[in-house]
Formats: sequence, structure tokens, C-alpha cells
Amino acid sequence: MKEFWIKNKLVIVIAVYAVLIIPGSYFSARLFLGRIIDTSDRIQESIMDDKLQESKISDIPRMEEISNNIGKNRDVMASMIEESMEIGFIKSLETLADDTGNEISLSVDDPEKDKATQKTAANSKDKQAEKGIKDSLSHAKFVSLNITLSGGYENMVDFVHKLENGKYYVNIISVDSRKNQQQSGSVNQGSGGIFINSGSSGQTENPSSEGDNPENIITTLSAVVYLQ
Amino acid sequence: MAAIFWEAAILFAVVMAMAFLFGINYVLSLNEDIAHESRANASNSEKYALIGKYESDFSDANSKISDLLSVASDQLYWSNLFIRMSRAVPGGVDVISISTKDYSAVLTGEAATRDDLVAFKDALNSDSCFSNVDLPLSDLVSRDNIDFEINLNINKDCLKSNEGILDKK
Repeated sequence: MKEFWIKNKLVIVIAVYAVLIIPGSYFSARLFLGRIIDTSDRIQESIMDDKLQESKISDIPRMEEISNNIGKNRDVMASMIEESMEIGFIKSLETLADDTGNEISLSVDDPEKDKATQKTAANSKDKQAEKGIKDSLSHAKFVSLNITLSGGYENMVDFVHKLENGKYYVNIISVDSRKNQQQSGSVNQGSGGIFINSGSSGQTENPSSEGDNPENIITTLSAVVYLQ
Repeated sequence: MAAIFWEAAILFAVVMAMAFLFGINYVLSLNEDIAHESRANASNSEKYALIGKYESDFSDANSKISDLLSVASDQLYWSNLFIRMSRAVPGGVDVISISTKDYSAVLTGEAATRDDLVAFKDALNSDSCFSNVDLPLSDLVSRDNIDFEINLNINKDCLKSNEGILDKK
């Protein structure tokens, strides 16, 4: 053994040296190079960010102008009610009904049912053709409302028109309008249909052309009120 | 002896190379620190905060506008359709009820004569907003005092259009 050591001492020392120095150098170099690349990347990012920020800083006056415009038009963008505004919205519907000469009663659909519909709408947007209006609504957050109106035809159309073009987005999903036969008597008594211009085509826009009994239509509107 | 010399020389070269790499890394780190410090400059940080506020406002506004656009694209306008429908009703026809489901509607009513009812059907057919106007043959058997039920489809584009007939807000 001693003889082997004496004979191969040089080879063994060189081999041990090589085994230690080569991997040591390799891993140290990799470590340093990795750090250099990382730092260099960060500096490049920082330079790009600085350039971007400089261009943004030069844009501050324009951003300020846009921000002011947004501030001025904030009311226009508030076209969907917040949950805290529901009572106010219901009151506004009552006021609208009064203004348009209708009697109104409201009911809200089961919120759990709405959530299920909203979930369906959100989950299966690819089956548009097979879905009804309510299922294909893009905005998933809404409350379903049943609005029952009692009044004349012109009053009902006026209400619907103002509701459709009001401040808040309300989408009427379905309409069920029928003559109030309890008030108007039998259909067969010839008291007129729900349209005020039956037999006088083209006169519908004129409110003065209302029929003898303006309180003769009961209309149920199934609508959705969008929430923010 | 020569081997030890070469080993020491190689070791020295490796150490020098490592020192060189370390030096580069150190200089780069210093540069990075300087860049960070210059960004943290007080006057700039106020501007950056202002930019951040504006960007947050814009993002919020864009999100609201996006919501509004999607809601607006779904908006239906029934009032115009009622006017169109009422214009199609000739004398002698009383529509007693209208019931809609999605893009279809059922009209029920009473017609004084068969001709009046046919005229009503034709008027609905001639309106581009209505299609597949279906009046059962059984409703045309009687000559007068006819109770009828008409099924029809409503053109989606007509329902989504807010142009024409009624005044805009």
C-alpha cells in the first residue's frame, strides 16, 4: 500500500485536485453568472420601467384631463343600481307609474332562483341559440322583478318606454298584457281590445285618442334590474 | 514541484476568474441600487402615486364601461314593438291579450269578420319585425265574431333597436 502511494502519489494528488477544482470552479462560475444575469435583467426591467414611467409622467396632464372627464360623466356610468339603492329604485318605479297614469304593484322573484339562472348564464355562454332571453344575459348580476301595471294602453306604453330609456338599465324579459275583463265587462260586449287604435290605424302616438275606459289593461312585465 | 506550480497557477486563475465575476456582479448591484434610489426620489414618487391613482380610476371606468356595453347590447325595447303591433290591428279586430315568451308572442282576441282577421294577419306578416305568423285554420272557419289566437315570432333586431317610432329620452 505504501509502495502504491509512493509510486502514484503525483497522479493521486492531481486527480484529487482535479476532482475538487473542476466542479468547484464550474458551480461557482454558474452561481456568479446566474446572479449577473438576474441583476442585469432587473436593471433592464428597471430601465424599461423608468422609460415607461417617464412617458407616463409626460402624460400626466392628459391623464388629469381624462380623469376630470370621467368624474364629470360618473353619473352616466352609474346606470346599474347598487344593492343599497334598491328601495330608492322601487320608489322611482312607483313615481314613474304615477307619472304615467298607471297603478303599479311589484314583486321580486326568488333570489335563489335568480342565482341559479345567473350561474347558468355564466357557465354556458356557448349555447346561446338554445337559451332564452334571461339565460343569455351578458351581465350576470341582476334581480328579477315582476311589475304589474293597471291602466290604459297608452299609459302602459309610456311607462315601458320611460322604463326602457330611464337612468338605470332595466331589461324587460317578457310581457303579459290583457284586458281587464272584470272592469270592462265581457269581451263579447264589444268594449274594444287592449290597443287603443283598434280600427284607427296610426293614431297610437296621440294620448288624446285613448279609449273610453283608460283603466282597462292589466300588464305584467317580467324584468331584470341590473346590479353593480 | 512542477505539478504543484501548475496546480497553484490553475487555482490562482480560477480564483481570479471568480473575483472578476464577483466584481461584475457587485458593480451591477450598485447600478441597480442607484436606479432604485433615483426612482424613490421624492418628487417622482408623488408623480408615480398620481399616475397610480389615475390608472386605478381608468381601470375602474373601463370595467364599468365594459359592463354597461354588455348590458346595453342585451337591452330590449318593447314599447316600439307595441306601437308596431297596434298599427297592424285593423278595424273590427280587438286584441284581448298579448303574452310573450323570449322572442315569440301569442295574441288572442276577437274579430268581427273573417276578412278583418285575415287583414290583421296580413298586416302582421307584412311587418318585418314579425315572422312565422301562425293563425290556425280553425279560427277562420267562422264567418264573423271569431275568437282567435295568433302565434308569431318577433325579430330580435327589432326588439333590440331603439330607433324610430317613440321619442328618445
